[in-house]
Amino acid sequence: MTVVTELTVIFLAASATLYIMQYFNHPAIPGYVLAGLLVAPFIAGSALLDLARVGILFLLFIFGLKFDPDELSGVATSTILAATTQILLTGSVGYAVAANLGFTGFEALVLAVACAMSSTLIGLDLAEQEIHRRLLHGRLAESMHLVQDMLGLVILAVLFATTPSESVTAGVLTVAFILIALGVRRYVFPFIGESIDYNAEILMLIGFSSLIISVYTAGFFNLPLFIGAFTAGIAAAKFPYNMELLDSMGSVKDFFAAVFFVTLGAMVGWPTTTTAIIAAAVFLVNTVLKPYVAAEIFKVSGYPDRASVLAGLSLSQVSELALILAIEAVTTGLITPVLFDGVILGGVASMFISSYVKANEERVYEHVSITRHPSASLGYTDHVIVIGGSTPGRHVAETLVEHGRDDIVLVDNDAERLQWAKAYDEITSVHGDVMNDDVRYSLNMSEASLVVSTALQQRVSERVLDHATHNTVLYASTAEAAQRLYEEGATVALVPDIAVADVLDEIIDDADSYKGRFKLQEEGKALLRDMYPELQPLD
Amino acid sequence: MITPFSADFAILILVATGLGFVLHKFNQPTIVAYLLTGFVLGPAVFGVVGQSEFIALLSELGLAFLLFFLGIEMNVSELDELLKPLIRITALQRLMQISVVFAVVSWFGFDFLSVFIISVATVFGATPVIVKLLNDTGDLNTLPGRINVGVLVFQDIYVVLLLALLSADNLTRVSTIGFSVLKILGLIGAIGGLAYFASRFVIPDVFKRVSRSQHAFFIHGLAWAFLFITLSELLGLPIEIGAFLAGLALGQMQFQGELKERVRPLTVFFMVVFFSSIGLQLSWENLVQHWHEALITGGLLMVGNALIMYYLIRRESFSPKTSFIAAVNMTQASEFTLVAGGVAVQQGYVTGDILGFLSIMALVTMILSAFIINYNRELYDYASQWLPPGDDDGWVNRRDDHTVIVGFDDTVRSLLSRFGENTLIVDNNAEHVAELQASNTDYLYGDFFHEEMRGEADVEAASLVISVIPSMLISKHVLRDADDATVIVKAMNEDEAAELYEMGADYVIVKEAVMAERLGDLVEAWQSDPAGFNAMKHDEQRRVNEVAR
Repeated sequence: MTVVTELTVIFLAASATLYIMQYFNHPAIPGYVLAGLLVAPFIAGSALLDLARVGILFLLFIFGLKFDPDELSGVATSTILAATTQILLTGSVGYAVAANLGFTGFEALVLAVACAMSSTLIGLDLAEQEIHRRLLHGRLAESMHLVQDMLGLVILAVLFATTPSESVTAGVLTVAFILIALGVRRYVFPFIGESIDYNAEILMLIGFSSLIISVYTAGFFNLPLFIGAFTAGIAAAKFPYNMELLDSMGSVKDFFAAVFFVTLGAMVGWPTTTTAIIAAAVFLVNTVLKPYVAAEIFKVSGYPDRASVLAGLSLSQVSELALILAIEAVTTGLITPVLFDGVILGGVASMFISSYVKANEERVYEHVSITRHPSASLGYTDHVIVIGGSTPGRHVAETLVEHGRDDIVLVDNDAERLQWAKAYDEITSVHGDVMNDDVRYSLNMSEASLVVSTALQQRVSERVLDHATHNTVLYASTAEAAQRLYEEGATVALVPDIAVADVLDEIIDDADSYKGRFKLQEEGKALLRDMYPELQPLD
Repeated sequence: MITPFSADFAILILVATGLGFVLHKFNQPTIVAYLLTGFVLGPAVFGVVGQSEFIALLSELGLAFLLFFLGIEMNVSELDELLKPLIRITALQRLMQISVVFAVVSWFGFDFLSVFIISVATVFGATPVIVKLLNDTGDLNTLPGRINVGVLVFQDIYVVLLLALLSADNLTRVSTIGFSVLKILGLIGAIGGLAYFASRFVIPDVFKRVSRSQHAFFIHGLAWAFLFITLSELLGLPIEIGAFLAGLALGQMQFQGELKERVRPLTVFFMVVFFSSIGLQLSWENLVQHWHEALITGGLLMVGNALIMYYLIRRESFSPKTSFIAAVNMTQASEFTLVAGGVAVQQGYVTGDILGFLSIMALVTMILSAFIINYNRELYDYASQWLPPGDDDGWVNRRDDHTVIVGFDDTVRSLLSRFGENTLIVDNNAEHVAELQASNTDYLYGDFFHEEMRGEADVEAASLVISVIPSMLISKHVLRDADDATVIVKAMNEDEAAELYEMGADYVIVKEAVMAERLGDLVEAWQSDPAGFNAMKHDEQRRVNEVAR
């Protein structure tokens, strides 16, 4: 059977399972592994395994590309502690389980790793929406993932070294690789990117070249090759080049992801009782224990309940690094196939559940959150509640103050966004999540004469309508969503896109003349100056 | 240490990157870099890299994906109009060119069989070269581009027949030859029929249900392509034919644009390997023997073939400009010439030095033609003084003084009524396709990230560009490509907005700021002017009802 025929089998299987997965709204990757289980008898070639291993390197390169250390600011220091603690705690549990099952040494460590780290590929994909919107739990989850990836690399490098002294060297070298990659990212890559003027093709080639060079260097120092791949990705992770790269390499990544994960599935043997036990252990630790531990750690660090739980939930699956560890270990004979099977099966199960959990996170949160005594109501009546302390909320509150209002209650679940309000006696700040019953109770929403929601989420607007009885000015994501809000009694449902359209409608007429264009600029900049007083002066 | 890919591959990529970088800096087509890479690294010069299995696999896949891409891109209904002219052009071109080659090569004193093989194996018009270069400039959809692609496709059929005949074991009897030809045509017809059947009855339903995510589309598309590739393999046909037909079947779908965009980067990657690997197959001894003759023949054929093509296309009543450009695009020998030569050597019809002859001719003409294609418009401008005047055949998919809108959301939807036919909307969301096709604006399905898409949209000639996609990358591209246009872009936050203003944006939409302002106006009215607030309230609701579907 030629490689081409094997690829055909892989893609047909992947396509079929993908169709089914999408129907049930599950992520693709566990589906691919299942596909692999099914088509195992048909694929066998070593050429295919080579392609799969190229795939691993490539996927890790892509992971690295998505890495953005700048995003970590603001949640960094406590996170490193949180991530390490979580890895140690869940890792120890994993190790204990392994020891109980009769595994020792390297094999037990593999199981521990499978329990400890979280998936970047899936975890981030699911959280991408939230990160983009700068939501707190999204940022928490992302930083946790990223720190764990770094630690994971070092751990894996150490694990693969054969003697203790080599382990130390490996660990040190990995750290060195990471630091060099970060350096290249900051100083070298932008220079390269500018000089080729963003050309996608050359950029892609440069990406591949750096991947190749990095992998060979890793091999030269006897480090596992995927360290080179991942750090090569980090080195290129400078916006906006990484976006361009990600976009052009996106299809190549999908290609290799399918090949890799289906091949992975094909390598899993027929499950035995031990396999089932291992799988169950991996599954339970990942889906139950780990999110719980993570959430608790976040809470202890001072983050609000809801954000902590939601962030913890997004960590509830096995990391690809663990799967890669498993495949490398089994092909070099360092672990038994039974352990390999168990880890893969447990991992896949956890990936399935995590997507389901994510889709229903609100309900899960409600099940697990413990209702405490409702905090005392602030006792306001006829007041104005402003939800969201970023620019729109701030502008609204300040406008109200200007027009004589002195009974404004501002609520936001991110303490930083409440700082500016301290200057105003007329504004009472509440640090909490308006989706939380306790918080809404303390706001006395039903007595407010106006509730303004500037939160960019439809469900917040809907929640407000459940409780507010007087005037409401709410955010709606689309015109249809606004109509629904009106049906439910909203006073005003604002669709930002429509507001933007109205602005454009006025200014496009001016677009033709040169004078008109100048006027456009002035108007635009004036708006920015009004809304963002801290912005650097625009000339 | 063992890496899953060979050192050969690694060196190939590194050198290709280096040369590509240099050529790009000098604004020359990167294809030349890749061809040179293979030539320089291969046995012909340094002999550092050999044709490894991995490289061979990748280049074969490359050609297949390229043809898959080509199939998707082709619009069969458009091709319909061109069908008869294309068949005539290709058939006559084959005859005329074979005669010309025969005449030229006979002078060099080769034996009859060699002259014959050279004549039939020399095919001018290399699909990968032409498609890649036209793609890079967004010219694939112009009339000359479509003529080129059409001729290439029919030429491919000729090539397939030729290869099959050359590899057949018993060529002595006419009946055997005839039988082989029929068998191949039949097989192609069978696969084509299967593809057509599927495209009419099976695919539309299936794909409609899976149209939700980009990844899904791509994987399903790949599965489909591989299915046909394997089918071709089993039937003994070159896999490119299967891939092409698979693409053609999918090209009729609504969402072909989406799939095309996903397949495109894949082809870029594999093509680099493909072009590099052409050079890898050349060996020094073979090259050295007849290089004078090869160069002379190549030169004569470049001119000769261009003249033949110009005459034939013009004969079909296309304008001089269309004919010139289409003709001039096809001035390179096809890679199939090398393949055919290789097979001929294997079968013992010719010796290795003849393959060397063909190789030099191919390589040199490919390199030179890359430059010619890049400057084909300038060449036409220069040559037009000697050509009869003529209009553009309406191949001006070139837009001018138009409005380009990038992205489609409620904002654009609200404003749709003020834009008409002179507006182009570029959007890559599958869910908007039906709505946008029904609207009275022009519409392109695609991702503005890609240079080719910006080329197709003719951003440089637009008078107004509005981008509602809050991506810095897209905004920067827009600002750079739009020369005189008024540019309105969108930013995620105030810092990005400031940067965009500095880069010359005429207006930057910051959704948060607009929303803040509107909210401010609303609460101000609520607090101090109840009548005004009432009016605003009704206004907002009215707007919502206008825009909602």
